[in-house]
Amino acid sequence: MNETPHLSPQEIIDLYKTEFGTGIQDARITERGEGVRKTKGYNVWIRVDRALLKPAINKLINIRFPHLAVIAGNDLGTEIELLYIFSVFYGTKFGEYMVTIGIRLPKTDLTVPTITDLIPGALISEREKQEFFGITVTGIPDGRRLFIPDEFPQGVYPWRKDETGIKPEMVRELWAIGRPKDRPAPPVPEKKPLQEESAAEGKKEKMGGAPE
Amino acid sequence: MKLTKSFNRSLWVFHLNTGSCNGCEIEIVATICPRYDPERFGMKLVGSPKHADVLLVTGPVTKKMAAKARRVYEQVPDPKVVMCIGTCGQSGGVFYDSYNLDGPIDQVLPVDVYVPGCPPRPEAIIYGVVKAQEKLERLEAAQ
Amino acid sequence: MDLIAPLLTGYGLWAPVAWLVAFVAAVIIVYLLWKTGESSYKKGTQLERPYLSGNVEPEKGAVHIRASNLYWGFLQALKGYYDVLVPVHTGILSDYLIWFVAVTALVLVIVGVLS
Repeated sequence: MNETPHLSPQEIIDLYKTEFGTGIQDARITERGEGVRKTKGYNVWIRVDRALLKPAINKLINIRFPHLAVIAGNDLGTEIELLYIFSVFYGTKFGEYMVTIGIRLPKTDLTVPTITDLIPGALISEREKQEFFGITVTGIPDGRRLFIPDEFPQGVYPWRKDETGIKPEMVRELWAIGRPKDRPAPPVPEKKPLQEESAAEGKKEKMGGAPE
Repeated sequence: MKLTKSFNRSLWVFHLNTGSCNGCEIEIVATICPRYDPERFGMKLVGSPKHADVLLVTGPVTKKMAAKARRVYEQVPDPKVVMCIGTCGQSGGVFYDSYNLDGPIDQVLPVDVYVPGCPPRPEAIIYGVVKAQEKLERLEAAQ
Repeated sequence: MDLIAPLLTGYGLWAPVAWLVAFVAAVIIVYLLWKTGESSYKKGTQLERPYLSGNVEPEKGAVHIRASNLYWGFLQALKGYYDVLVPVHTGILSDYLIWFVAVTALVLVIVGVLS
C-alpha cells in the first residue's frame, strides 16, 4: 500500500490551505517539549466552516488514516464548538502528532453531518455530543441516549452553560448526606486507644537511648 | 451470621465498579500485584459475586448503576464484608455536586469499612482489609 | 448369590431386586452429598438468581430458543419461494375462490385436451 511519507505539521497546514483557501478560519501549531529530553510534540489546530468538515476529514484520511481520539465539545455562549481530535502518523517513533479540526455551530442552527460513513467508530462520540449538547447529528445511524439514563428530562442538556443546562435544583450534594441513620455507627465499640501503653513505651525508649 | 472458616484464612474478593474513573481500580490491581502480594495469603479477585467473601465497591453510584449494585450486593452470600474504596463513594469526591448520582454508597448498600483517598494507596487498601478483619474478630467475640 | 445370578447370565438386566438395591445406594450417596451443602441461605432472594452483571434476569420465555427456530435453514434456502407465495395468500375469500375456479378450469382444459 503506497502511503504518503511522513509530513511535518506545517506541511499539513500548507496542504489544507492550498485546497480550502478561505474555508480555513484559523490554523496554528502549538509545540511543547515532552520528557526530560524535551522531545518536540506538536498539536495542529485547524478551524473550518461547517460545510467543509467532511472534505477536511476526507483529506486527512487520504494523507494517512487518522485515529479519532474523541469529539470534544464546548459551549461558547452563542455558539457550540466541536473539536474533532485526530492523531496521525502512528507508528513512527516520535512522529505521531495530534490534528484537531474544529467547527463552530451557531445556537440557532445546531446541526452537523455525521462522519460515521468515514469513521464508523465516531458513533459513540457523536451520540454523546447529541445528548449532552442537544445538537442534531444528521444521518446518525443510531441516535439513542448513551450515557444519560432514560428517566432524565428531555430538554435538559447537561454540558450547556445557558438556561437549558443543569438547574440548581437538579444537583444533589453528596457531601451533605451524612451517615445513614438506621445503622449503628459503629456497630461494635472500638478498641480503647493505647495511650497508657505508648506512654510507657516512650519512657522505656528514652531510658534506653540515654548515653551509655 | 455464621462466620465460616474461610474468614480465618483467605478472603476472596469481588470488585464492583459503580461508575468510577478507574483510578481506584488501578490501585486495587496494584494491591494484588507482586509488590504487596496479598495472593500469598490466598486473597484473589474472583469473577462472580457468588464466590466472594469481600465486596470492594468503587465509584460514586450513578443512577444507572444503583439498582445493579444493590442486586450484586444481594447476590454475595453471607457472611460478607463490604469495603468502599475511594472518596467518590463516601462523599462524592470530585463529583460532590452532581446531577446524575444516587448518593454515597451507604445510601444504596451497607458498608463496613471505608478507605478514603483519591485514589487510596495500596497500603491504605491493605490497612482497610486489616480493619475489616479486626471488625470480624470483634463481631465473632461479641456473639 | 442367587440375588445377582440373573445379572451374571447377561440377560438379567431387569432383575428388580438388583435395581432396588442400586437405587437405595444412589439415594444414600446423593443425600450425603446434599448434606455437605450450605443450608443457611435465604430463599426467594437475589441469592438464587444468576449473576448477570447486576442486570435483571429476563423471563424464561424471552430467552428460550423455540423449536420453530430449528428449521431456520429450510426457510432461508426457500426464501424466493416464500417471498412469492406468502403475499399471494391475501386472506380475502373471493381471491381464493378465483384461484380455485381458475385452477379447476385449467385442469379440465388439460384433461379435455389430453383425452
